Amino acid sequence: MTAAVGPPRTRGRAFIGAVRAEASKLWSLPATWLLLAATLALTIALSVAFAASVRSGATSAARTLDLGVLAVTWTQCGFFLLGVIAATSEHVGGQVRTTLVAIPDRIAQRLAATAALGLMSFAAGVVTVAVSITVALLATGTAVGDVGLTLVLRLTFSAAGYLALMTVLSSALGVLVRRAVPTAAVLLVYLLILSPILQDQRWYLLPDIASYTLWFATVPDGAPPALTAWLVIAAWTLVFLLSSVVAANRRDT
Amino acid sequence: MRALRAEASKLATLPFVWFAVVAGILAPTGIVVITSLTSDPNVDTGFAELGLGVIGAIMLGVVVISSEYTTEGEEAAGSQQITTTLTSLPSRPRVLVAKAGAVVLLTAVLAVAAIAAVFAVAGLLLGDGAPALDGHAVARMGGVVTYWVLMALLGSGLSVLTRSGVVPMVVLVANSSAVTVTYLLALRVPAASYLPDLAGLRMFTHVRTGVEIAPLTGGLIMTAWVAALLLVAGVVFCRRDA
Repeated sequence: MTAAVGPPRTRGRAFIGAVRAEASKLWSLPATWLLLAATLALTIALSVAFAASVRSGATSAARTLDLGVLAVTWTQCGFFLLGVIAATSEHVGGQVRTTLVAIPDRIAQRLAATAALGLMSFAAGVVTVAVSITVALLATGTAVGDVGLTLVLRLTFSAAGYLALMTVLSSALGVLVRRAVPTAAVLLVYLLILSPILQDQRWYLLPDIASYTLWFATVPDGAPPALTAWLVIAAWTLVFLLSSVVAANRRDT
Repeated sequence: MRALRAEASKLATLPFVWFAVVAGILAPTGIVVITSLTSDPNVDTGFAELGLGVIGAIMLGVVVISSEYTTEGEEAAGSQQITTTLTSLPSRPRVLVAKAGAVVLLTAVLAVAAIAAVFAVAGLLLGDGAPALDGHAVARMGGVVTYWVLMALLGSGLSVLTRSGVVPMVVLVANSSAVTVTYLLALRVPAASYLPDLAGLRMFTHVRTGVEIAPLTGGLIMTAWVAALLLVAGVVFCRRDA
């Protein structure tokens, strides 16, 4: 009697399985959906408010698009929180121990969790930004044809890519700190206080300020080219991600 | 008294408190540096920045409760510190009163330190243009301390209700710094001027929302809000499991 033999279990298949497992963990976390729903709702509300504030004057198509994305610059903190909650929920009740029993290769576990989170936040980012732009266009009565579909798609996917990378960065910080409140506090202070102050100074080496050159239709004169902005964002994300993977690999839990 | 000392020492030895202290002192000081160098001083110089620095107080108020509900993984078998706290002090009202007392103490100290830092820096940078430190200014500084203490207690009360620190902290910090939702609401709905943070801001700034509220009245309104919230939180805390 022979047992049924499936395809040989390679590292690649194991990794895909790990990504699926991490994705299902994210999926089934109520906080994930609550956060995404709240972010979407807040984005819609802010988009409507911003669009209403300029309905009186005639604005250019580019300015309308900027208004559409402006709401996301505030609600992006919802994505930061998603990363924090996704990472710190592992350490609630010691779930991390079960996870490490199931996926002993810690580097693979962290990368699988990152991949699952990145994919999910990218999809959520596309939805959020697309809805935000649509709401702004509807509220100002502008047609998509006026602003150019390619431009809208480029802005949407750039913003979603940035949001996915920032969610990954936040989750990496969450792995490093392992506590939700301090991680969230650090990210909030950066996003809500430091970043608005430094925006006037045009510090393009900060990830969110660099990203604004990518997903706003109107770009200020001194802005770096798109490739530089992406490199800045990617560099920040990689630094945090590598530190978190090294820490997860070396620490007890 | 022993309970108060215990809670105060628990709060003071939390690592996150350092970040809250830094945020509460450095944030307003940094912003006052920027505004002193870039714009002219006005009647709210120093005080408006302290209105922003309340985030440190909010963090203190939130973490005193949320640290109790942080699940210790691993060796402690997934328990929460609240179990130990209630074992050592079974009287739940006393636990809350001691925690509130610890929050009031540490926030008041933080507020005084932040006021000193902000006005020292403003005095250095603005010279003669700095706000005069007369009796009126000292009264406003008292308003700042009261506001910070009440906002911290607001954070504590909300954290007791939600048993987690993230949502109360995010909501209160975002409201006090980036997008002051309550202020925007008050511009449309006059009744919103009586919300706690807007009423409390009257104690030391000249915020305008179309509804005039005297500083003392604003302080009383905010105290009433916080007292009601703490009462509700106390009843809920005393009745539920933990």
